Amino acid sequence: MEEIGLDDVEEVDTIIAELEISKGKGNLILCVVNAPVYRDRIIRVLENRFPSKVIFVEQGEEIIQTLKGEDLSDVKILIWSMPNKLTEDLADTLNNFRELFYDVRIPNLVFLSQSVLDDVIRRAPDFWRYRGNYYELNGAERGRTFEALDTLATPLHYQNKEDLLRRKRINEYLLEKVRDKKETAKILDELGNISYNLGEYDNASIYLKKELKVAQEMGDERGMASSLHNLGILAQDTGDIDEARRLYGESLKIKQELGDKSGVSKSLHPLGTLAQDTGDIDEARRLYSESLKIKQELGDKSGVAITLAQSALLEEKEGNLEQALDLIRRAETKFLDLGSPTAAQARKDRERLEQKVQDK
Amino acid sequence: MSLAKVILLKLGREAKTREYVRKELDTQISDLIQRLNWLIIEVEDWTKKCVVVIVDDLDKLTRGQQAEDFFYKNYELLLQPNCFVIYTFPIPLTFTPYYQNVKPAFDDDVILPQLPVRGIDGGENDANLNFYREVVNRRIEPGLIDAGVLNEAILSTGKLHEFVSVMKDASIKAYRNEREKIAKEDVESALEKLRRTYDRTLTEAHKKRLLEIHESKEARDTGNDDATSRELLFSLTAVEYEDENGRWCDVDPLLLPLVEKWKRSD
Repeated sequence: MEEIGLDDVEEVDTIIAELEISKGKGNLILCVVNAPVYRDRIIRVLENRFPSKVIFVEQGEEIIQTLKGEDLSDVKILIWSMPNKLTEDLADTLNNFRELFYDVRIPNLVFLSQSVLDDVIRRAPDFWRYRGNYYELNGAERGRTFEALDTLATPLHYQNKEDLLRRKRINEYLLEKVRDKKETAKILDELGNISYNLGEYDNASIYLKKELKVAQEMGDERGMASSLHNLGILAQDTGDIDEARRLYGESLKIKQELGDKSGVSKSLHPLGTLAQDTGDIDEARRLYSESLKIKQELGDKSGVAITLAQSALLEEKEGNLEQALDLIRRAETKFLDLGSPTAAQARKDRERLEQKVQDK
Repeated sequence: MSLAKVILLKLGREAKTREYVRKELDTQISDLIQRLNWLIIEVEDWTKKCVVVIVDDLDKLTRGQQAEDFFYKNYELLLQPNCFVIYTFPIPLTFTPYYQNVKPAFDDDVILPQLPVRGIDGGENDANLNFYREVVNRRIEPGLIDAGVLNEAILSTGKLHEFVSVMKDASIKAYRNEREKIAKEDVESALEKLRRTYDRTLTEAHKKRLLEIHESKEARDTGNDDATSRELLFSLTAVEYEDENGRWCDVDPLLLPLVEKWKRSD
């Protein structure tokens, strides 16, 4: 990978570290990026990480009004994108109202091009001297650096194995370069997910265990619950039922302590499938029913549909065909409402059950 | 609205405001001065003390013309309040010919130059070095900085804001790299970044003048049309110092490593 790329990813990681430290305090960080698409990609990375407000500045008055008048209580960082030219109005505003950037008591990240920075140093020197820090990124609108930032900015989506392999390579590279723990946990999670989808279960396990360790180091209980759950899926898929039950159980316990109802419902469901697989039908019914109840309360339509469909399979296996048919019909309706591709599988299950009921 | 506020509305943020302020100034300035002076009398009567007004932040008048208009063309206005007034004043304006004309109208002028970390002969100024060290020692435990690193940062910057900025940048780098202490490479990387930026921003004329300033230890423009030295002093790429041996100018210490390079390309 080209040297510029290495520098840029490390710089973005350092910006994240500085913003993390500056949360709840004032700070003024300038960031030089020339290509607008590259800038926007970095902004997306930061928006994914921090509750942000992005302002594309045209006039000085916008800066004053935002910093003086707007309710920024829900905003953790302010991101400013400067125009391509430093007008007299903007230079004056930056110089004369520079204190406002610190008065808001949240970090400000100002994106500007190289030529505008040079102009700022000459024509708004007080603003320049008032900065907390500044970064210069060299990136372009294409190439591996861009792809790496794209990976940091967007959730995993893929169409084929090539997509997964490409994304895996970029994430392995990011893992080497990124020091920020939250971003590292995200990268490990994605690598675990990719390895799982590629059928590389040993690698997936290594990544997910590392992710769990990072979450534990950060004291991130939600992250720990998520890693334990994913490790549970892996153990279940590799046939280690006891380990899967232990991992799901640990995840469930954390979610219950956090009052995370949605998470609890999602742990109860696979615990139900484990009970079903080991022949403990009553326990499986209890767990599905508990999961379903919470999902209905939360209005989690997709979750409800999945648990209904799973319950239908259980009842079919137990010979309760009418009950199974009723469950799968309800599941199919919900999948159709959601426009889910799983509706097709539910239709097949429903047709099979209808045939069985007819043949009885 | 106070006099200072009206003046400091400073010719505005945008054309419309500027025009409005100018009109307002024209029509209301006498009234404002009068009201201010009444206020001063009233405050002094009540408190039995003299009023001292400090008008800070006039360093924000960064454009040469704007600053000259304020201090040199309208200076009589600044003298009208009937109390002690201290106006902060951008140092580069002392290098224009108008300065000597206007100076006698004021009771005094006090110049506060940068604290030199080296004397005019290049020898280190221990007292000033200690001042800079103390700035950091009050904020960062000395054990968190590798030996010798602080000195390098001070001697390479020699200006408070730049020194603080470099130390901040270096500490973020050390934190990000999970180092236990701020290392030499953290400071060097922060210094190099800043140096690279200034080197890129300076024009050939600026570099030529900086070389002259470095040789002569003086910063003078050649005439009214020449603002090169003033621009350098505004941007603090040239710095004025003073110690017990006198006053002199030199290149920003950060840029000293570039002097040889500039000489070669001159």
